[in-house]
Amino acid sequence: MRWTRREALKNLLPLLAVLSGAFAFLRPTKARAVPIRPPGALKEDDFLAKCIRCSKCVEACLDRAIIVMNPRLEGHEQAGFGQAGTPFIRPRQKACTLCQSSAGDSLRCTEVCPTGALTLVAKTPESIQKHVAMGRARVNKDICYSFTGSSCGVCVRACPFEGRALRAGHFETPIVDPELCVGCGLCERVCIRYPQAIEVVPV
Amino acid sequence: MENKKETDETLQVDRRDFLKASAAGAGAVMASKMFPGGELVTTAQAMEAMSFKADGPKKELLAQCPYCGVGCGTVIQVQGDTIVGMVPDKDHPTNKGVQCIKGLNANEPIYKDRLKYCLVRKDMSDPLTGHVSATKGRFDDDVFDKVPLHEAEEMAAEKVAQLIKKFGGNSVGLNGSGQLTMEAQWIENLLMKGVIASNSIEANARMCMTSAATGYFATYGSDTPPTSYDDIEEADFISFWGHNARESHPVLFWRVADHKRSKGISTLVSDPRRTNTVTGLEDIDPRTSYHFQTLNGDISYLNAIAHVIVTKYPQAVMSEAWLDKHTNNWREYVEGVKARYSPRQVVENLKLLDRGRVKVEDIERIAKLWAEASIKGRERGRGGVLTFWGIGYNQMLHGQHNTISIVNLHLLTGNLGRPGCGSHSQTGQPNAMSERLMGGLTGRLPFNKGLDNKDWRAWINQKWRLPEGRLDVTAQYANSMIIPMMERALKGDLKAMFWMYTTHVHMPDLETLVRPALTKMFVVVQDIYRHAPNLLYGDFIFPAITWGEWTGGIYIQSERRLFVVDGVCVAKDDMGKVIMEARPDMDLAIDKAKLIGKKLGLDMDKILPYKKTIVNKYGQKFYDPEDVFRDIVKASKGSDADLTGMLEVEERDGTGLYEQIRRLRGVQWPAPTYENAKKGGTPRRYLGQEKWEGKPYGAFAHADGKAKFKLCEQSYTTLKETSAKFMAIGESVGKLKKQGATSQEVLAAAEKQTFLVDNMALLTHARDNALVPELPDLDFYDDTGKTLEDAKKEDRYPFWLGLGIVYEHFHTAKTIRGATTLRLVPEQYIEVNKNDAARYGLEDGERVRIVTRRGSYEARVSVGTDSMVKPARCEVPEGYTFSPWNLSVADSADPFKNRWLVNAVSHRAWDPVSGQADYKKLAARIEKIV
Repeated sequence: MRWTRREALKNLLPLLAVLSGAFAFLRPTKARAVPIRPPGALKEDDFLAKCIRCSKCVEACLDRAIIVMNPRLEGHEQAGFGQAGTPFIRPRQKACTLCQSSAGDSLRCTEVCPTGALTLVAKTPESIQKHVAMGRARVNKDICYSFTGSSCGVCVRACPFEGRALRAGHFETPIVDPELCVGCGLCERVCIRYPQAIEVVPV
Repeated sequence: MENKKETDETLQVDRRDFLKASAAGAGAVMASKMFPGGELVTTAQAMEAMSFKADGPKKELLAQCPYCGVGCGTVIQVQGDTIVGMVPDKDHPTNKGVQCIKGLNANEPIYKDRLKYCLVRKDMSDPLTGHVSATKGRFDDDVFDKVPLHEAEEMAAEKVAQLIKKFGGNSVGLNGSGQLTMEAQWIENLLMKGVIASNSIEANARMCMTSAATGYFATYGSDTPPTSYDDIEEADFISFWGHNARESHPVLFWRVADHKRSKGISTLVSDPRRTNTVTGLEDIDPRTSYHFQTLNGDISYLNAIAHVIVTKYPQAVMSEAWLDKHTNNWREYVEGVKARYSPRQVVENLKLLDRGRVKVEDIERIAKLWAEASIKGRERGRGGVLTFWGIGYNQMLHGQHNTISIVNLHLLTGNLGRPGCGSHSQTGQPNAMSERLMGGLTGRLPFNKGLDNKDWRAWINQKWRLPEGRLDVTAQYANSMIIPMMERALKGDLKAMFWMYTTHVHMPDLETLVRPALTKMFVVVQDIYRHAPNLLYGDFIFPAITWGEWTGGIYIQSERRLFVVDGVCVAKDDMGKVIMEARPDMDLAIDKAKLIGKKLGLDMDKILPYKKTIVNKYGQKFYDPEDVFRDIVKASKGSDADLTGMLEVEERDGTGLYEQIRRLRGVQWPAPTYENAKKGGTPRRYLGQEKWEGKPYGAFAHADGKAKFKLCEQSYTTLKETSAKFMAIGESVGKLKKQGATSQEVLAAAEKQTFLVDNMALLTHARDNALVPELPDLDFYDDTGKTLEDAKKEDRYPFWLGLGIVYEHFHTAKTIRGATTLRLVPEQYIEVNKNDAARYGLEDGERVRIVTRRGSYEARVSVGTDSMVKPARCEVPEGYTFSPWNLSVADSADPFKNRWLVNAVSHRAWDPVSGQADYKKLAARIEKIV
């Protein structure tokens, strides 16, 4: 029995699929997509090791920005192996406002984390700059209104470190300082472009 | 029924098709694929903006943006007869293809919350019987009857005609709008002054631009801003007074910023807050960017600049011969500023309010820059000093004097009559200038002439085709500006009012003045939104067609540029159903005028010979605004806003009036000759800039052809006792209201209150000394032992409160309904200085109640530019607080739910000449919400 090349490929496909699934299972954890984690999260591997999926941070989040990763839900496809049940943020929907309960407290989600998967972050610019690295804002200059001839600047005005992490250049063009951006995503949340012209990408 | 079938077919809700069709479609489709299920909140909200299918061929219409007075050219993208998108007009000389977020999303609020039927209040206020409606202040369905359009028009006209017959024409008032078309403004003026013979006609331009307008009349003799936006790129020194241009007029600001960046010119901003205009200019070059952080001292500082220039830089002052030839009163001005306005004297005199924030050296430095730029510009024949001022500068009880002070300095240093310099008032609304030019204000006639001008009155009488002497009847009535009109209503002198394309929420002192007045009066409203605040007080409510849906018309922006606002000729609701009863405001005004005029025995077919010649595919018939515009152009002959050159072009070249304007992307008035109209009108005014000989309007419009100086004074010696008298106005009614009195009880108290119209000497005194309406308890503020609770207990008001706008929104109606802009500023806020916050234990983000003597509202505290309450981003000085007024009804217009109504707290004190209220210096306290 001779297979044409096409048939050979066709018949090999299921096998390939199985194999690739196995490789995905076996691939090193580093290759896993890193979602935007709540503020103060440890590095992804350490975070996954420490997070007990208790959802306390999810409950503590007044803005409902922190959600539970559920691969069966639409929009959660990025969930990789071992990430189900962990907290993450999709800034386009709801971004982190770096909130606290009352003056002097730390960020709410970091206060309730029982295992230290989220480090305690004091509500001060210094502490936030030091401990929070949820991601980094990236501007798509091809579609951003201010880079394409109009003047917008709503993302700059939404930034909690306005004038530093994100400042307005000429005609309100957003300029990100990667050192100071903590990836809260408020810029992405308010962007008036569809899809968004400014986006938080994991560091 | 045929129509209905057709519309139903085209309007099936189909999100996928909508996505394909919409202008933002490409992006939205991508986004929805990335996040299937439409979970992406923003896209879903964007789709809510228009959730029906647009059908038919694509086309593009030209228009001026419906928002601020910069007047950017915008292209309305249309599919069939549905508006689907906005893009900036690259060929328009004002914005050159740039646009801000408000304009970019101007299509979103059009098909939202539309008013679809004529509503008639079941329990109407009836001045004939003295009955006051018990349902005013509510707009639920159960308080109204739906009545067919023609029936409602007839009923309303009958009621108004009865009132006119019984109480006289002047008992009926109207508040129009700087957002109506020029044609509608012409007609509403004709309706009031011509048909009804009432001088009680006002417009929201009163709270926007009249200080500039009356300032121009006093100095140049005509309400004619002399400049063009093209002067920006030629200027050597630019200043902004009470003008947060980056937020309120973004495109204008970026033209200035661009020029600063390329040429390194110096700039000055005078504003109590460190606004984004201040920081934006500092970002470009902090060494050439200056900021006068003053609450009320502009007049003094301008006089002090003049003092320094006169004493230190005499070469910057125009020669005596020039000043004698072109101006009057300049010697008194120079003597006055020399004697009383040295920088040292001024800083000392203003210490109470400004607390030394503006220093002697600052004034001297600005004077030096002003002098250098003036000399440079004069030598070169281009450039010099260009001065902008905004609504904040106009909204003071000495607003007219503010404008005059700027013009004084420009005349003194010759910054006028050449490219690159001049005094440029920036209007707030897209067509406020036309409202002024059409004379849609009390005591005014079209084209910069007063109702007291007998010859012009006769001319307009003829052009309005009125029976001879009709306008002489109107001219007998004393002028009455909008706030005095409200007081007249409470006194029983004004019985009924029309409201067209404007909201009462923009007016000061709502709870103790405006709302009681509207409760008492018979009110006829034209509006586009079902839940607009005016519906709370309307007895008859007519659905209108809005910008973009119109049958055409003209807007005039701040550089005197007339531009078209083309439209799709049909109104639709949020499901895409045609609103069959909706009419453009102009049509509603014409029909009302016809009905009322007939009942008054006037020959209305002669006065308003217009025919409904525009028919859309749904069978709706409309008047052609170009017919009205032709009448306007004809009537402009001989005025200093003469447009008759356009008629010549039409005659000789066969190009229609609107088409000329479209092709030229605007015509700047005046355009009195063929050649002039052909090249787009007159970019600059005065001192021979018009390049024509022998016209009566080439020089300044005063009888002797000269401009006038007027030294405006400022003295705080009587500040405390004068403010105390002001602060008592409305206080007792406010107290009653706070205790939860019913609207009837409030009305009864409001009728008995002390009225400011009976205390005009007080207003004039405050104006002549450039005082403030309210003075906070500064001793209380300075006492560091006092807390917020003490202020409440002792009934003290330690903070200054100023009202303004927030960048993402225009006024109170449209942008808060647009999905994109609504999302950006979800909540009312109050900006507080960080030292004040620390001292009084106010936390960033905390909810508080702001209380004045007349009312209160709720807001979140926003501390500094690092605040998490976004997007509050300006630093206020210590003791000063700020809230935006354009979020007033963003929560709900219903008084039972509305908590953000900032004008519940403002003061009614107005400039006795310009009529503009002072919203910027109120005395308030902050109460914690427990």
